[in-house]
Amino acid sequence: MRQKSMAKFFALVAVIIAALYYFLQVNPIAHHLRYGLDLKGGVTATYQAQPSPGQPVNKETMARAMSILGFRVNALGVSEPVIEQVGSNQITVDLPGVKNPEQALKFLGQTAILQIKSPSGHVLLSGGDLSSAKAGIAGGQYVVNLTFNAKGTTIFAAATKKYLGKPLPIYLNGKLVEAPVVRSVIPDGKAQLTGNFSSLKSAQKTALLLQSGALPVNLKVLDVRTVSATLGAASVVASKVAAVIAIALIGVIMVFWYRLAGFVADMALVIYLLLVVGALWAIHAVITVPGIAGLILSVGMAVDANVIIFSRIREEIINGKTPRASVAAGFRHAIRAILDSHVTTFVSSLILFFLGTGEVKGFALTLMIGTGVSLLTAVSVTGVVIRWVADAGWAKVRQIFVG
Amino acid sequence: MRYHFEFVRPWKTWFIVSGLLVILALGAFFIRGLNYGIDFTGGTQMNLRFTHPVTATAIKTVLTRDHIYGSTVVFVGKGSQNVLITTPTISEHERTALLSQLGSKVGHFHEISTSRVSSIIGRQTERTALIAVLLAIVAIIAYIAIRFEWRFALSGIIAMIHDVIITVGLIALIHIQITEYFIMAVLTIFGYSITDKIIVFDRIRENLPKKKKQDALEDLVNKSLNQVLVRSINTSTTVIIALLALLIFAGTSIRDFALTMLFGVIFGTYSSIFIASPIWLLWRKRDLSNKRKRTASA
Repeated sequence: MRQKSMAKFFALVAVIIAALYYFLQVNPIAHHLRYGLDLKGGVTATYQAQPSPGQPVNKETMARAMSILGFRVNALGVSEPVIEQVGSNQITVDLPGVKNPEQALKFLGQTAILQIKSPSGHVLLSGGDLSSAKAGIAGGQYVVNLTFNAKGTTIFAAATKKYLGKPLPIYLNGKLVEAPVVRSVIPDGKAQLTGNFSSLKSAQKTALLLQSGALPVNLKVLDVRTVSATLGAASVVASKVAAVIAIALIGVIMVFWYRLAGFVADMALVIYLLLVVGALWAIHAVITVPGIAGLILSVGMAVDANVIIFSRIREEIINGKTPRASVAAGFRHAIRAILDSHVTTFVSSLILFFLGTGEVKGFALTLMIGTGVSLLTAVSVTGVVIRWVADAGWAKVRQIFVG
Repeated sequence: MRYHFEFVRPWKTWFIVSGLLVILALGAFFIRGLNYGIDFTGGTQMNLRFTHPVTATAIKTVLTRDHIYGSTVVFVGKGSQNVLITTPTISEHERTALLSQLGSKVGHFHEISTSRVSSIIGRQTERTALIAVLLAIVAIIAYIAIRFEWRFALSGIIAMIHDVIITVGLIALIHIQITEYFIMAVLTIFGYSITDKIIVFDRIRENLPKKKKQDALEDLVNKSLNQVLVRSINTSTTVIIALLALLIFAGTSIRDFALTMLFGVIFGTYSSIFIASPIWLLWRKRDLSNKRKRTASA
């Protein structure tokens, strides 16, 4: 019994050291966790959707606006963008590492409504009838090559037949761009927008806007936050230093107060940290400053759980119980308080997660994970290891617990 | 037991101290008011780092010349190179013009961050957080009422609200700028405070069945508080040390958060012992004596 418990204890210490070594090698905090823009730099914008003529703001138009924004963001070549609906009529867009936010945001929110009208002013075709729009050069000019979809092709063929020899004016955003005269019937659904593009880039931009489709609702920029990557990096470094110092201090204090038991607490806390980082990585959580706040609270709760367990065991020993009986009784008493406090916090963070918006969600998520892991390690690490210690006979030395 | 403090009998003293603190906090909150940042007021905030030290007067002169009024210029950190300029909402065009003016008139700088913020987002976060917290309070009351009893639930919530009021009042008093992170700090205090109360109440709950008829309820509560005291001191000390580390070493936004938390932890720990427990005791005693009167008259 005694040897077996000792062996288990040392085996666990060895496993933790190996895990820590591996952790430092892989360094998931630097390489694998995802960070919010408040930490890594970039631009976050919030758009407010406003109804445009004939298009109310509803679930369907919002979903369409989001997919169009997604298409345009991808065209900007931003890595790991985030596009999210907030509430019923707002959309936030996270663009990490974008250099010129104002220009990018203007582009994203732009509308490009293409209309081809009959000579009498009747709308024949619109942007929705396009299957593709590509920039190109034709006759020494920058152009946008348009291809209509099946329905558009039929309409276009019929229109070119009907209006042969007459002009078919093309409007972009309600402005007349050009009015080419139809020279022949076009059955293959191909047309060219010559416009007056000053550069290939501006032709490409128009092509892209046409390709992504017209936004069904007007998007007004509500809020723009830009954080330079240097500030983000500086705050991450400063916070990391602070966190390492705080954790090291807590580790030392626990050993100082509770001796060997404090060392057990440190083992539990190391496992706690590894599991929390692992969980954050596994669910692809985005770490933000509020998220770190949630983590701090849950670390406090994990430390508290250990303190409660040891305080109870110490009391039992002072009351004259044997170490093994003290560990059993102390843990049994402590776990009820720990369970109640953790369940309360977990339920609160669950409510915050589902009802809160924006940054409150990030806070609630890490708090939820932290509370769950804290309860788990209190029961399965501290609770178990402290029994091994008692069984191993080390706790016969009263000083270990009484201090 | 090597020590024995009298916690509950002098409850009047604790209630007067807390009452004064709450009045002071409410006074600070309503008279001085919270120093809302642009997350709540809306506006443009630019964080610039100049290559050479500059003066606030030079920057303000440029602002006035550009007809941008009601702005604040605050230096961040040591030296006078890193500046936080907050203006009312200005257009992108105005902002670009202002920056080029600052570059030519004040000195060369590097733009660290810019926020153009509408007040809608911050207020929205504040409102949804408030609704979520109210619902969370209902859930907590229900949980404690089931696991403990309803008097514990209400005493705990009253003491928790006391902690939040005093902390927010202190923040209003020292006039730290309120950002969205402040909401997180208050939520954290809320969580810490409730946890602390549950741990303390757990001891009373555990000792209650052991009470003999002739024992005074005051003695039972007092004994429970003395038993839980070591844990309360140890836990709050570790959390306070962690917060001090953040306060000293972390960046500005985290520092304000840590300071707010520090107040919350101190008052949260204090109120579990000195406010929540006496409220529960007085309440339970009153209910018991009412019951006794009723049985006597029946």
